Amino acid sequence: MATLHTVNKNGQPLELCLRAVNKGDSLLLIEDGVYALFETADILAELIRDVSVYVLEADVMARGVTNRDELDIELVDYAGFVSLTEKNEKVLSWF
Amino acid sequence: MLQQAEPQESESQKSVNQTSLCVVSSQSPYRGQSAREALDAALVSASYDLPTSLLLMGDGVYQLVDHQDPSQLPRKNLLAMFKSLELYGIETVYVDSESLDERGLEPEQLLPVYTLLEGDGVATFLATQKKVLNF
Amino acid sequence: MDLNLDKDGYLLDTAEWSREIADQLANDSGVQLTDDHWQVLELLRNFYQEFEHAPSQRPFVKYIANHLGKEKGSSMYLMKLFPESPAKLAARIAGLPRPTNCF
Repeated sequence: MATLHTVNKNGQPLELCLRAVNKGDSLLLIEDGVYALFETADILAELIRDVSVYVLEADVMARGVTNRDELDIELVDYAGFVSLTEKNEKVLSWF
Repeated sequence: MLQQAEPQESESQKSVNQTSLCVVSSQSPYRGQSAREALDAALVSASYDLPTSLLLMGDGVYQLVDHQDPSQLPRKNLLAMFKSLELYGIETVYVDSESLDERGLEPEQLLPVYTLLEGDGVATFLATQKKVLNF
Repeated sequence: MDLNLDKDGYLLDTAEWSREIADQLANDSGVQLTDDHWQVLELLRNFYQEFEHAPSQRPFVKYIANHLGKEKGSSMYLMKLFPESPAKLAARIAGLPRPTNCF
């Protein structure tokens, strides 16, 4: 029954996603959503207790974003994105 | 997957009956076409007798503010469409209570066709939906 | 009379609509308008004014039932007056845009 949430921007998309996640869900940060690693690392640090957090490699690399706070977050490529959508019952995209 | 005594057939029948769609609308009413598209999606779904719900979150809660008058804009009045939801079989509009608080909105300022979701309400509600579409 | 129609045959400007135009649009679709038709068309135009969109069949049937009672507020009744695709045909004759939530 788990859900994959994608977030493509910090701000409202991330905030609403935080309100919609349940324990056991997955969160994938894509596009400008990967800036959360810089801007809201504290929120992610708390979130990873209940939710698996992933970031899309291509978007992280393009933006020079680093896992500065060494959070337990997994880097996935496009194939990984696809397998995440397959593993979850539904996908909610927050944008 | 839970192991249970239920026969396979009735379980799949159950999931067919439970198919439901929630349309999440999170943009303000006159920013782009997002709000209108969300309403259209909900109306199409309900027209096909699919159990359909509409959830307003974030700036989407501005869509339900009463007494909107876009007559000086080249835009339709979305409130008129909200008023028709009941005819489509959509009995209520779910509103994220926290989004109201953040924007200093009182529930009394909204068109009275909503149900407030408080606390974990949004997460719990979405978890029960078969399909969710974000706008 | 030459009408300004869109590619699907709907009147481009709903303000141009008149009873004569309705008769012409109905004739083009092989429908002869009776008092029963007019009653439904008037309700449909009221719906459009009230809710700012042309409805699909289900909500329109419910709207008719609310105003004219259960007997006329049925899909069968609507199908009889406006065959095949009642929501679209009635909207066309009533001079409204194509119902957006109706394929």
